[in-house]
Amino acid sequence: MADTFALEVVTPERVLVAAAATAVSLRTSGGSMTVLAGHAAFVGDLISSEVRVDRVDEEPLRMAIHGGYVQVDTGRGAVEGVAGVGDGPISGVSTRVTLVVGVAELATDIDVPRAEAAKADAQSRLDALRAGASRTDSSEEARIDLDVQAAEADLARAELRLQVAGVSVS
Amino acid sequence: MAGGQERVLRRRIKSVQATKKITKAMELIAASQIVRSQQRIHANKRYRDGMARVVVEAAKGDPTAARRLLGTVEAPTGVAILAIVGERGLSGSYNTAVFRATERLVNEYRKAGVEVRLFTVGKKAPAYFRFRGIEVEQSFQGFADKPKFSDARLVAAAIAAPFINGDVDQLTLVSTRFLSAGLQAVRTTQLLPLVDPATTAAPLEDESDVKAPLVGYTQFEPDAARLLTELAPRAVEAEVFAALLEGAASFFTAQQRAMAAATENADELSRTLSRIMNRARQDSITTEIMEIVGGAEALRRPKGA
Repeated sequence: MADTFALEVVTPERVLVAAAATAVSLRTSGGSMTVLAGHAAFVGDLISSEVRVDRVDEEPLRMAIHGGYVQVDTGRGAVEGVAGVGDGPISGVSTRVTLVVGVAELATDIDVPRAEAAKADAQSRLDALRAGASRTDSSEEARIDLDVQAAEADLARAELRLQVAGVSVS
Repeated sequence: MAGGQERVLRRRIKSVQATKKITKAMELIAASQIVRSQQRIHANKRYRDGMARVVVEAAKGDPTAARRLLGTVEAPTGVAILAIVGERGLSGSYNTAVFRATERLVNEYRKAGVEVRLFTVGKKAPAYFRFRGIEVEQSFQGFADKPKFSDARLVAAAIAAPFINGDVDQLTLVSTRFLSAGLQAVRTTQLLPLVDPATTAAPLEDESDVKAPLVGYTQFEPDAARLLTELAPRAVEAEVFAALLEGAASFFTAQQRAMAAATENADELSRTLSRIMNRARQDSITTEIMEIVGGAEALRRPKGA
């Protein structure tokens, strides 16, 4: 059996996941990484992306996260409170991975029709802004830039949700 | 007529009892909301702790950068204050306590020549401060009862902006903390610069002693200094959200207590009033009997004479 470690995904509203995991794949600003049991202490930022959690004898968990932080703790007692987790490959050093994220959804919780509607809405807003961009004076430009950024962020969020939910993104 | 007083009293008793029904209902509603908001505080705790741990780790990773971003400013020239109150009244001293603490803070800073920019959450705040001649820069309303994380984000972005632009060098929060179901108190906390974890006697420090052999080997991505800079606004969001949740729970607790007192008072009032009313009725009956007896006496006497 593969070594397990304690994994927690916490959002401001609730603890989304608290489980024994064998691996967690995520993306920081420096690139993709997979954390296994016995990983060194680590703190990093999470960019909006898909996170995959592999578990023993269970389907992997997939979730969409929208920005946050990851901390790998390697203290004694780090795994307290999570069932089914033993010591890692190095005796006496256990691993706890905490993902601290503002917004996170499990793939099974994603509302596909809503995400599709949000995507269409963001796309149309973006199109409208781009079409109108040429005939505005400079004083409005900053405001429009912000609107474009907001629409692009909405679009990216909706696309990530659809991708994690398993709907193909064109 | 003697019956007039009785009628007036009866009407008052009726009105007191109607009010009692309302306060009783509000008490029950507030009680049910306390449980829900307490659960939300509990659910938020892991997030708050997780965020605090990340800050601690990042601060340990780059002490030089940490000194710039953490700690207390000795002599600030500009301060932004966020005051969190309720959407409604009828909650005892919940709103007033925050108002007073905020006002005191504002006056202290102004006396010291520090520029103060005030932000508020809760519908009750702008009216109070306007009346006191304290200008509110921005007021957020409509979510103090049931705050969502997106609300906290909005508030955090607005209040952190002057700090990030360098217009103020400190960001302070005045709100009611939900210390326990029986104890809530107004507290003033510093949001930015982030409170130096080394100066607060957090249990986290003990934890790091336990894993002493591994301290100093934490990896960062991006490096700790950049991480800390980006972390600051997120940490403010987390703190504001926690404060909003605790504020909501405190509001309902205060309201429940105030309404329970009002219900009790209504009970006592209606008891006293009905006692007065009964006496008045008795009096009027006695008077009536006396009148009848007196009248009968008066009629009888000339006949017998």
